[in-house]
Amino acid sequence: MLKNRFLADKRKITKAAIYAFLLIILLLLPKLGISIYYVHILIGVFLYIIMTSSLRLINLSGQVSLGHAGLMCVGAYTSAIISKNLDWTPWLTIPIGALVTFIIAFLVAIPFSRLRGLYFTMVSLFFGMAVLAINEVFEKITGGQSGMVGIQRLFGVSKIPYYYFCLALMIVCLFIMHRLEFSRIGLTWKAVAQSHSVASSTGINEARQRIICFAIGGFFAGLVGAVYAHYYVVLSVTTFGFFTSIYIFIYMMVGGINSFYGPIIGTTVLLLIQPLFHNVIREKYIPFIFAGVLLIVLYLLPKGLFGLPEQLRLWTRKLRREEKTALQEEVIHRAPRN
Amino acid sequence: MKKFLVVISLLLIIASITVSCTSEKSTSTANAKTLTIGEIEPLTGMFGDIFKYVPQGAQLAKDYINNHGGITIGGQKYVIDIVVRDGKDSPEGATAAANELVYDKGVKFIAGTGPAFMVPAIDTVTEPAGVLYTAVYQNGMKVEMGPNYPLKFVGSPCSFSGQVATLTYLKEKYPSVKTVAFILIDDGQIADNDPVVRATATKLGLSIVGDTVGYAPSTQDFTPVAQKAVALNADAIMIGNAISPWFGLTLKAIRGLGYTKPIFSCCDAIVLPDIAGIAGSDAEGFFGASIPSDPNIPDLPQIAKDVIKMASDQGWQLNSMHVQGFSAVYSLIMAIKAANSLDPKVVAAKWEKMDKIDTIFGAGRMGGLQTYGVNHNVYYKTPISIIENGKVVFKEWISLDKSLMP
Amino acid sequence: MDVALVCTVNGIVLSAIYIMVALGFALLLSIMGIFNFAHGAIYMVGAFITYGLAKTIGINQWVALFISMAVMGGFGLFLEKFCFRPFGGKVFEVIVMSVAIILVLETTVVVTIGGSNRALPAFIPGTIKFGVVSVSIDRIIILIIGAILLVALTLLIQKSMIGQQMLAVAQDRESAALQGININRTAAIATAVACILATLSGSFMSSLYYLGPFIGDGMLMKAIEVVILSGIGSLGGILAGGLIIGFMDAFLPVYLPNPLVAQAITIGVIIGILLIRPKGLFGHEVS
Repeated sequence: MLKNRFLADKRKITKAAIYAFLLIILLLLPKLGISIYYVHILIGVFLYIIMTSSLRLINLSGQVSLGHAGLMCVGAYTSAIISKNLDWTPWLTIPIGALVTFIIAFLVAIPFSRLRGLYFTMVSLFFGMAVLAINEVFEKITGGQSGMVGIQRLFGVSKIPYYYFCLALMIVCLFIMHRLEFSRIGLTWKAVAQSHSVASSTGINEARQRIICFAIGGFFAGLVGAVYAHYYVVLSVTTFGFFTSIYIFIYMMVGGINSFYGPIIGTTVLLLIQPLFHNVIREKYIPFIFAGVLLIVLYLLPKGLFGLPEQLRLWTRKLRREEKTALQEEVIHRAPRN
Repeated sequence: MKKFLVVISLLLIIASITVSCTSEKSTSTANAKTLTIGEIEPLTGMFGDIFKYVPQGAQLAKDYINNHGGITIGGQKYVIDIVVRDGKDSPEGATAAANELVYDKGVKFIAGTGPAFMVPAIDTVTEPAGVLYTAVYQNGMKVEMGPNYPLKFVGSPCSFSGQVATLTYLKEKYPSVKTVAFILIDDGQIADNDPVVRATATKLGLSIVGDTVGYAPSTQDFTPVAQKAVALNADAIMIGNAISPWFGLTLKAIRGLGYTKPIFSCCDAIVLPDIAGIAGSDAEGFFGASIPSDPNIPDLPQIAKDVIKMASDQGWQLNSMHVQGFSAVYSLIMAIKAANSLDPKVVAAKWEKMDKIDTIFGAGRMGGLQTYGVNHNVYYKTPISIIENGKVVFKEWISLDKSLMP
Repeated sequence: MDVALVCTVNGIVLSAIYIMVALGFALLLSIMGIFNFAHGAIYMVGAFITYGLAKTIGINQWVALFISMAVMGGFGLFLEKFCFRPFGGKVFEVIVMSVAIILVLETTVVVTIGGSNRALPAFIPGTIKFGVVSVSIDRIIILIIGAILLVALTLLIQKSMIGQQMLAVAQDRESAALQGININRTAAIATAVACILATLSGSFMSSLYYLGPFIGDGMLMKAIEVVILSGIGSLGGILAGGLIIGFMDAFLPVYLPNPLVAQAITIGVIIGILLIRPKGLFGHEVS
């Protein structure tokens, strides 16, 4: 008993130390003389980490959305249009954008919360397409395909304030999402995802939980979209298209859908491929690297990048000639459980 | 333990970024020998088709200038180098490329790109960073050029001048045509293009009938567009800024409905061979601002003949997009020469005051004061060519003097 | 009325095109329960192979088409065995895989052939006149082929052994395996057929319209629209879904001055139908 407690404390301290170390590095990066280009890249990484994590949040309740970029679009354009036409400060329009997205996500979830599995995914795909079509129709306000330019900046021209702002935003959002996942609400969502009949037999209103989960995920997406609008200062329908949604989904899958940290790792690794390789190989070959990473993770890492240490241990176990348990057999051969 | 390892991996990733980028200093590349010009083009996606020629044109400009001794600024000789980046086909692709060129490569001059939603995106990066940006095209939208963009220039005649040139030619060679139907992509540029093109037509004694027929960028089937245009019963149909597939498909659709009257384009740089490749016999008689790769065209200045030869040495057939790519870089270099400085702001100030400027088609001028509010557009004479028997045939030069393009 | 007639003819042709393209996607979705987003890329590659054989090597276009279909059918078998089967039908892994496939296929085409657009010449040149309207023979061929395919596939699924096996696999993969159905073979056939359908429609479309490395993306969207409207699980439903969307795309942009509104109305109609029948017009449980 005492031994376990000692180990648990040690783990907590180690964990805290790691987080602190990471934080310090991230805080100091701009000061260490990193090129502004990489500051710009990291800002994008921070924002997309929030996006991917919010997609995973929605996934907790068993809903897989392939239209998440549509929600980002709603937040971005709401904030951009209000700040441009009413001349309000982005500090006001960003929360408004996030709230509007929350409401729209809520309303959209209502009719489609009854759908499960593939059907929900299909409809979410369609939602993404519908957002773009609506955006294009109101071309006079949104600029249609040409989009909007000259959106108010959140800070000045220098990228450094945005870096710290997005870093802080990411930490806060991740913290909230972590708390949600491991709270009673999160457990409820996971119950709903597991089996709808069991969940409802314990008095959980499945539809309501799914709607709330989707709406909260939508809030974060809208928040990211709104901040995006006031940093990149340029918006267009193509920014939030089908492939954006798919890529957010891929970041999540590659990172590992079963772990809270999965989306963070997946987003970081995949978004850094382009910047890290663009001086090494010719630009037009970079998609091959990206595809290569996807294939490696698909074939070798069933649990995503997050499962990398575990997978390494499994492989080296062969070298160490240890007995495999039935569980490990299953993980290696990916046989479905009955 | 597992989480620890994961976090360590993340740490390593971040550490490697730190190392790799602190070792790369982003300094000005205007060192003693090479002047690096950044080039952003939509190379993948739907614009890749016509914009792949532009970097080739830029390379021709680079070779031409370097072969003629480079440029000398303040007593120091420079050769120019061009770094091309893919802007994909979206504003964020363009800004990503711009950010990379400006902050990673440290360029002071950027050339390239034409699509309406990519050019302003690049401005958002270049203006605050003090980088001079020379686009290859201007679609007629106010956000693309103006007093708010002191460091933004356009290296070749474009949307409005294309309208002027082709309508002038139409008036001359097709005197029976009085009314014109106008087809233009509905991606936000109709609002700004519409009044200008109608005014131009009126000035020339023609009229544009009915509303502008618009089509969505995602259009696959152009039959409805053709139907609307044909229903206007005009003496000719004019197709505005578009990419080759849209031209080709619109032609196919219009001819497929049995319309036999003239069809032409007012877009100032079209690649007639590609359009012929898509539309086949339906492209017969289609004309627009385009030039065939023929050194024997009358009134062709020596520089153009040289460039055509250089292009064919590379295995390229020179077309109007090559010319635009060439011109963006070449006119920028002419401005730098005239300013005798590598400071973008100094070059910009000199460039907009220049009246005459050397261009690939001979003596050109700076213009646009009345149209855009700034003298930031390079103008030179526009070649009109037509597709005859499947081949591109040069017809006439239309000069763009101040009265036509103020 | 002239205009309405042209629209009607165009509507039928567009529907035929959409149905052909959507069928392959729907086949894999309904029967194997996977989203093969690479369908658009396969459509594009199949068309390029036809083009390469016909234009560059000079084989007769129809022969080129059949060779291309055979090649891509083989590719489908490869896909099933090495790309879909290892994941045991897990939808989301397959989505990641299909994006990897898109990247590989599109990038290979861009890097080797280049970003140019071109067109295949007509399979059978010429037009036929229906009153005042002339329709190119190619469009009529697509119509006929599309109709034959739809009927053939529906019959195949319902009457033949393979079709029954496919339905069984779609309903419950494991029980089907317990019944002795060779799931792998069923899946392989389904994937091969989907790829052949994609190649066929891609080749025709590249003569009707044009051919380029990114034509797959646009058609994929249309296929998804049709399948969302028709619902998962019903191949016959594709007929209805394809007709609705095809006619809307043929009529609305002509009668409405603003093309973007036409697009939005199409989306709106689909939303409306989905609100009443969230699983699509003919969707039903597959798993």
